[in-house]
Amino acid sequence: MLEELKGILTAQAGLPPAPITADATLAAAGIDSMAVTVLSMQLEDRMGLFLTEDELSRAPTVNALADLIASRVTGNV
Amino acid sequence: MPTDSAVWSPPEWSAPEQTREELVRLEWRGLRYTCRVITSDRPAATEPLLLLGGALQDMYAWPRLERRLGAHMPLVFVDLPGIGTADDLPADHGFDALAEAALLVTDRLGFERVNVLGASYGAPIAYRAALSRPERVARLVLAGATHRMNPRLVSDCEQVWRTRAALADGVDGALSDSGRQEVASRAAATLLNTGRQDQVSQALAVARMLHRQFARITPAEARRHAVCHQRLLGTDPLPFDRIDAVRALVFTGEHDDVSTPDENRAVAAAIAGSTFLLVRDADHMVHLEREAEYADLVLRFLTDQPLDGLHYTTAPEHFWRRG
Repeated sequence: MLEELKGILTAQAGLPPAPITADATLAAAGIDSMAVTVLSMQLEDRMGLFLTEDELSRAPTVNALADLIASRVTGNV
Repeated sequence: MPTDSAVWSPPEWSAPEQTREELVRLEWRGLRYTCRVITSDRPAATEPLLLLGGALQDMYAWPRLERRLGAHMPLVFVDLPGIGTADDLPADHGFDALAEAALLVTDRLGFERVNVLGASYGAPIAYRAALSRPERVARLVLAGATHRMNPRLVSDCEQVWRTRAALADGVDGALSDSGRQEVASRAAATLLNTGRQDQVSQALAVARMLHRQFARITPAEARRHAVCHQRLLGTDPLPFDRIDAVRALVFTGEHDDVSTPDENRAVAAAIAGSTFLLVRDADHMVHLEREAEYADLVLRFLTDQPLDGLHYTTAPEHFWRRG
């Protein structure tokens, strides 16, 4: 999921790839309001997942964000 | 040589650890406000840049521009009175007061000359600062500038305020959930060219982000916005007086209907020697819709690089100095 997340953030949200590392905080990775908005829309369009911007923004790291999305994909939450 | 979109690279991001942030408290006529100064160890390629944003933009509202420009020059973001963390600015204070408060920032920081970027609501402030003290302004960038709000915009904004007034609680001005959504939809639409959505980059995401931002506005923030709006409705927020001694770039998105291309061009025409151009596939929210191109354009201008042949803009128009 981490690579897929990175793909969305770079290709659709316009972020450069280098700062998006597993342990980076969302701020350090450059994941701002615009990126979170794009991500929320892409998750809905591509995977039918409904994760609000608030839910996504609460993830402490990029890895935690990927885990949150993965858990929704597998229906664990 | 025209730039090629396939090989073009925007200004690279600097990591947060490569820059330093300092908060500086200021006071102007008893009003407290704050600026953020971002510096890096790299030698500056141009004078410091003072950013004056829109009525909804506080000093943290430019995260990507901060990353892209932070390594090239000191950046100064400011919550002027009436914005963000600053004290309220009384309604009877106009744009000249804001220009004074903006110039005080540069005095306090000890910058002899600065580059000034004024976007939207910040444009009249930046223009007045350059008009009053041109010797302090190395270069002026105006994005989404107009001498006054056009009738369509005035009408749309009045409709938003009427809707809000009709839906708000009479005591504290709060809105119900459905009221917030209704007002947010209308407010976001005033800033976007909804008729050209299919021709604007990231249009849907920007619309959703703005909607969310408007839906979260508190009654106190709404009262602040009303004051900003009234200030914009005053006589010529951006004066017609000519600027003759400051290098300037005026631009906006080609589909901007908040400050139209012709309105921006008219502002450029009042600045001797200025350059005017339009960013393709964008409207008034060009800083969000094409943020990388926005940063590239600003950096090129502030470092005296040519603006000809950029794949993401129209051809530059130059307003030559007389005589």
